Amino acid sequence: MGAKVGAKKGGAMADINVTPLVDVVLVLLIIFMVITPMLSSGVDVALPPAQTAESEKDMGTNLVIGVKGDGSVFVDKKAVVIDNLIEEIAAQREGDDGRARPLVVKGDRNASYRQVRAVIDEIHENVPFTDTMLLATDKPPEGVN
Amino acid sequence: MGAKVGGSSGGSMDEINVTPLIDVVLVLLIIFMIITPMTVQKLPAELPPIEDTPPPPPDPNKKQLMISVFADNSYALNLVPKDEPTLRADLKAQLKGRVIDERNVFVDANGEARYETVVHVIDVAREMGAKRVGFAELKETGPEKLTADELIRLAAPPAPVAPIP
Repeated sequence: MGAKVGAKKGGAMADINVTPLVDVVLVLLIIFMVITPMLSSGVDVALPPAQTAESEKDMGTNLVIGVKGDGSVFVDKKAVVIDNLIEEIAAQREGDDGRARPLVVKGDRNASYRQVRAVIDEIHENVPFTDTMLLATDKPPEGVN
Repeated sequence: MGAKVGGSSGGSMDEINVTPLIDVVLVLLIIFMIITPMTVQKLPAELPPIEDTPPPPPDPNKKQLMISVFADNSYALNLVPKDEPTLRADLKAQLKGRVIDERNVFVDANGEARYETVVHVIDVAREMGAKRVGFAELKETGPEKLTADELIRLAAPPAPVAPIP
């Protein structure tokens, strides 16, 4: 589409050939469009919707504790048993220099309260400064309310 | 950059002007690059203190707001079963007259309740004006011990029970 046909007489390069640029940019665009919905910290769960959630840019600054619908527990993307949860959190936070990453609990909407609460309690009892637990939620579905 | 200089002889339109296309695509690309570090939605929930010291007795003049979530995912406000519209209305009425520091709501849920319901209740409380929402547990009359039906029977005498459809 962008191949030049007539070169203006005399000019060394009358027009830049933009075809490769367009190709590259389009490919990058498609890559980003595909990747965007996939990128999220932690394990993949069906988050419960909430209207009043506080929105924050996810720059990888949170350490996400996932609880799946079957009750399995994950630190970031690594499966753990609940007895090892605290060790794993400590291990993951080891690299954080100075300020430890805030913990966010990402529970599946189909999990039972007991499963999520067990994780919350375990963290609350063993990790300092967790009086306020952050629960990850989803945006509410469109057209509700 | 892409403005055409030489038109080939005779051709009505021998080349499409791609400049606007590139403009649009570049802008889209930049938008997606910025959006990619996605936003996380977070709901803060307060947790009860872990020390064994008993909490100070609640001031009888300030009525605590306690939402119970039962195993069947129904809920109650201060042990009176509610459906969602009445829960919203009651919470709003109760929270309205309070100073900000007293707009606290506690959530006590049965372990078998769905996590989604618990989050939904926290969400509703915040929507209706609660400043802080926390987890709490009632020893005797909590949803861990009672079902919604037992609660209705217990609470029946004073107030006429609203017909539940």
